[in-house]
Amino acid sequence: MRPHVHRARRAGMASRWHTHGFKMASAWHRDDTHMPCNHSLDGTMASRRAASALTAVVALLALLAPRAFAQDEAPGAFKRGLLQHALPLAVGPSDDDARRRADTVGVFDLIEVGIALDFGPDIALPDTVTYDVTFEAQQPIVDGFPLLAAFYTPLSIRELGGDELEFAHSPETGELAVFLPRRIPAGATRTYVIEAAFDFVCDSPPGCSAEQFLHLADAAWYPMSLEYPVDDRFRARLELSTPQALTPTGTGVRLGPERTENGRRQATFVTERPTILPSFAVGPYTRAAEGIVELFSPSAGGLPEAAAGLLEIGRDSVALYGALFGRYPFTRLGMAAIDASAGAGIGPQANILLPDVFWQLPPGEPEFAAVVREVTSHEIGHQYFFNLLGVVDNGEAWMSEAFAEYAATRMSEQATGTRDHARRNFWAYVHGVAPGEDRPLWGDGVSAHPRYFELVYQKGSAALHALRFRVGSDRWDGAFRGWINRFAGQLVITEEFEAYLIEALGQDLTGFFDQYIYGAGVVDLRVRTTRGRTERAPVTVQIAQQPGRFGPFSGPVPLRLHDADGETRDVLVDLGGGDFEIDLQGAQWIEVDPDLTFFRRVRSDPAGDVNLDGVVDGMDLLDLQAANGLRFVREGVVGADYEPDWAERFDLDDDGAVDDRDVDLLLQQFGTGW
Amino acid sequence: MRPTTTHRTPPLYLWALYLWALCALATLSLSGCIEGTDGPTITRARPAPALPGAPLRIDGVNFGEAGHVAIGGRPVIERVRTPDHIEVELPPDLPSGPSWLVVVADGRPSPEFPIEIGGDNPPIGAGPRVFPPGFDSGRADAGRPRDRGPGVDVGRDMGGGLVAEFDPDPAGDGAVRLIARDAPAGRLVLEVAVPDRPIRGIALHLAYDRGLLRFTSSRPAGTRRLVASEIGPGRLAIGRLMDRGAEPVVLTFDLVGPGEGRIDVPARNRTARDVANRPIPGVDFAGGGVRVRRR
Repeated sequence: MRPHVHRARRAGMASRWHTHGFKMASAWHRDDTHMPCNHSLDGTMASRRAASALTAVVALLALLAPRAFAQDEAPGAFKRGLLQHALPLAVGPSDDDARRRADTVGVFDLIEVGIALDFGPDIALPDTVTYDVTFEAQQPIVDGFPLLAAFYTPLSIRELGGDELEFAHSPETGELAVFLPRRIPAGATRTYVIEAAFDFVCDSPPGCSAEQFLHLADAAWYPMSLEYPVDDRFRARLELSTPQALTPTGTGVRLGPERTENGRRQATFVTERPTILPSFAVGPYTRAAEGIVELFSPSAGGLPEAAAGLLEIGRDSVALYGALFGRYPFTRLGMAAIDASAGAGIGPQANILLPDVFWQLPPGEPEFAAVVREVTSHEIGHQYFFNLLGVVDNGEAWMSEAFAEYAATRMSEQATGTRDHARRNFWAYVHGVAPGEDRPLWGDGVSAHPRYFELVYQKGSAALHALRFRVGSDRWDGAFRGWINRFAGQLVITEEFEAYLIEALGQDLTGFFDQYIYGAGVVDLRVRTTRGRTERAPVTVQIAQQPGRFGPFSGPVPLRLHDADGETRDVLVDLGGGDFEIDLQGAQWIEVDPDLTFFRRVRSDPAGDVNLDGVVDGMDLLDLQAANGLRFVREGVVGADYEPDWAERFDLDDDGAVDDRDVDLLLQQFGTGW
Repeated sequence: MRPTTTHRTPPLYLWALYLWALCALATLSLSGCIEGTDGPTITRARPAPALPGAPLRIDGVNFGEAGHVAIGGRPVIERVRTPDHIEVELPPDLPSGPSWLVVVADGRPSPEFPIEIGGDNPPIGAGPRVFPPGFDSGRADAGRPRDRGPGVDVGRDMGGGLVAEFDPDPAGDGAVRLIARDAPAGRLVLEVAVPDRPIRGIALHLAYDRGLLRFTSSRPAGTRRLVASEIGPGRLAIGRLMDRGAEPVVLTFDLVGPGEGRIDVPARNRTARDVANRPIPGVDFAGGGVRVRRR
């Protein structure tokens, strides 16, 4: 498709630009005196980047296809569908630039993008939109500048208070070139107003839906930096005008009260921190507020009980995250219903979007309620991880999704008093990802991976819990909070996270990061305990391991010693140091790595010695019978999911279930070890 | 019928007494001995002879602040403990005759202190088979079965000419206890009694002298929810899920030979679990003394 070229007198330049691709576009906006052309991006590369931006950035929060509450074919599929955003931040191959932590990259720095939308009476996107784009020139800009314009077609562009400008637009690549009549000096700020036809087609949930509600939470339906669409964050301002029957809510905080003018609701929302994801929702809402939490419930069918529950989740999440991660970073938390067909929750700044089925849950159904809590608290977690701390590209996507999921598991921990949510995530990775599918959390290997959810969300959050319990929960919480405080408002990368933790904790975590963040793999451990029969004889513990994909595990392995009265003590042994002796000091039995501090499967040797006290006896029988019936995947009301209490040591025959066959095997081994 | 042996070595407690005497002598001339340097040592027990059911005052050193006292291998109830004296209450059914006293303080046992138990009860048994207690009489592993000395054939009697008496350790209703049931000659039958409280399951080992007993069967018979198996000589391992209305576990032992010893429930191998399979704190496990004699 040819680029749309406006104002014919620049036709020659536009044609050249079309012919030579982005090389021209990237060269011409620079002052050759300061930025020679030969420093510009290669044309082929640039076009690929632009095309990638068009196809990938637009799905910034892409989610799975709509799902009803039904039995799913794969463990955790239901929740996965509600959570998976698959942050496709790929705007081209990762390079050094892409992992920069500053959002003042490129020739200019976007400061603010204003968006004005007038909605009609139907649930549909408007035909036109008005943008204003404010940037600060980082270098002198001579001929013009480019913007990403994937889903709007500019009709006119003018400098604020000035004349109309010439421009060229390529819908094919999403490039918009704005031509300048005069040079912009470095450091100068300019605002440009773009009147545009709104081309976004709302047919790709979850980023957009338009049935009972209208929401748009995709990227590139507004002007973004063409070269650095993810890095160059800006303040977003949404001016939303709706008929009286509809209520608008947008990303950020409401600027002043909602007004009614000419029979229409007018509301302006402004982000309190830079973002790359302005979004909005419009619908026939009933609004309720409690503190900073503002709930936009479906007017019809919304259960008061569900609304109260959602308000409670919002309030509790803000309180818990405030304690764990530092004060909630915004002065508002909007929670708006969107169509169930979106099939997902989405976590834009200060205004999360949740499927309206969250308001229609059967009361008293704990599994549904748990899913609502987990998804909602995940999206609220994004207020810190994605919104307060930005992510630079797909290779760092775990720093958004894994961290938001980690936040949700902490919320679940508070709500249920158990670590079931975190443990499910651990097992989902350990059991749900085949060795050949395994990838490091960091890097581009997980992008568009069929096990993206298990790898990024679930392994990622489990890795954070593993770190938490390796260093101690209190110390971890302090360091984690310190990291958030240190990098608040910035883009973050894994290397800096690692370096910060090592310095803050005074603990060498490079081995852990090497093995589980920059590497991958699950090791199989086989543990044999030999115990002398005199009172104070130490036990000898032998741990053999079958290395995972990344090789053998090395590092401390926690053992929990269980006393007869239920008290426990933890000791650390260094795996790889050969056999070791432990003074049990009266303890009865041993549990290996009960807090799941590294990715492993643990079996006893002999298999019947499930409690690792050195003999297969009645205590093993009690433990095994207590676990009898466990399946590593269990069926529930909302579909199959991983069993949090799973442990391989109970599954003597390694068939994924603890059953009478395992009991029979234990009885066959009864007395072994004595 | 097992042949009578004529070349028995001195029973262990006599060896211990001898060593203690050596130690006491050495204390006079040297600065001390290993046993007497910082562990508990009994210097006197009053009254002498001691009387069943009456208080007994034990004087000595290094009694510490915690521990227990055993007489003839049987724990007794402590009333007072100071670093240099202990007052205990002797069981009323204590058999008369020579016995020995041990004080355990902070996990260390004293040398055995010989005492005489007064009263009319004659010592039982055809032979002087008395075995020292475990270091803490059931709070620790009883260890390997304590056999008689070398040269004693323990495996051939098994006949109906033997009878056993079981003397349970003092225990409240809150303990898992062993209760003797009527048994034919040549057998000892013990019921494992559990406290009357919600218990999902129990597991325990019984450690006993293999020269006295050999496990033969349990009733009910073993299932996936009940197992009782002699996992080694003198070592019985039991696991039992307490299903609603479950009948008590009854253990039958063959009597191997005459003598006296204990059935201990080693601390590291015993547990009572609640409905969530968590250990129930405070549930005690009581063993007892066993005497096997000829009819």
